[in-house]
Amino acid sequence: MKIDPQIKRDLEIKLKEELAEKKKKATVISAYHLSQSDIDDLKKIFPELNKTKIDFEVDPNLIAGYVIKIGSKVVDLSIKGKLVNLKNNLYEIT
Amino acid sequence: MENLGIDGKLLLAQIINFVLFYLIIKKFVARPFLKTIEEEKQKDQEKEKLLAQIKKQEEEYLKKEEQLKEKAKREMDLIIKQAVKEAQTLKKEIIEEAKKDAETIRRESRKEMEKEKEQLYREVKQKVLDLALILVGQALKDALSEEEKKKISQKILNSLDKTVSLYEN
Repeated sequence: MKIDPQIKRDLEIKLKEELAEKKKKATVISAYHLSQSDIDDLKKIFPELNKTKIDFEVDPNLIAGYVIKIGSKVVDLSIKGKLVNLKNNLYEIT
Repeated sequence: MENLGIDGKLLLAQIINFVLFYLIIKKFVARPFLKTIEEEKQKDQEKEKLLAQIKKQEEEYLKKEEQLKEKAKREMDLIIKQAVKEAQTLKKEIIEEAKKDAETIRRESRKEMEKEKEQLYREVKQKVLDLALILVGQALKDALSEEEKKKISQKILNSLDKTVSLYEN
């Protein structure tokens, strides 16, 4: 299907803008409410958090640890994520 | 002669009469009669000849008919034997074909069953692991206190490198 080149260009620009917007926002999900010291420790490990606005969410299902999202990048440091990995590995090896 | 009572003239006349009678009878009666008898005889002979010929022909025809019947019977027997042989061959082929088909169906069914068994095993495995995950997750959630969760989170952070580059999801 041929797409109009102008529409293609406009779409690219829009997507880049949205991506840039997303990059400015970060989300930190934890299993409990984070204290300032916890946030500072996180910022030391993840310097990108200093450059963006951070949304904090609490999800008890994570059990412990954190899930950090910046734009389309995700780091899963939660116990839940590790359990899921373990489950997938067990599935592969059995 | 007259003393004997024989009349010479009469005798002569009778003899001549007789001769004439004989000649006339011979010429006008006996000859045609004999001719007719001869002709009849010949006709009878010809009839008998014809009859014999016809009989002979009839015998020949009967013989030929017998021979043809015999030939036809032999050919029929041959055809029947051939048909029986072909039918037996066909029967064998059909049975072989059916056996092959049955074997193929059996093999395919076994393959299918193995596949389904594998699929079922994978599904059960997945469900068991999912259930285990849920149970362990729930158990940890219930068992760990806030402090313990914080300690674990801190340990996780400490186990990372000084700084971490984020990867694309």
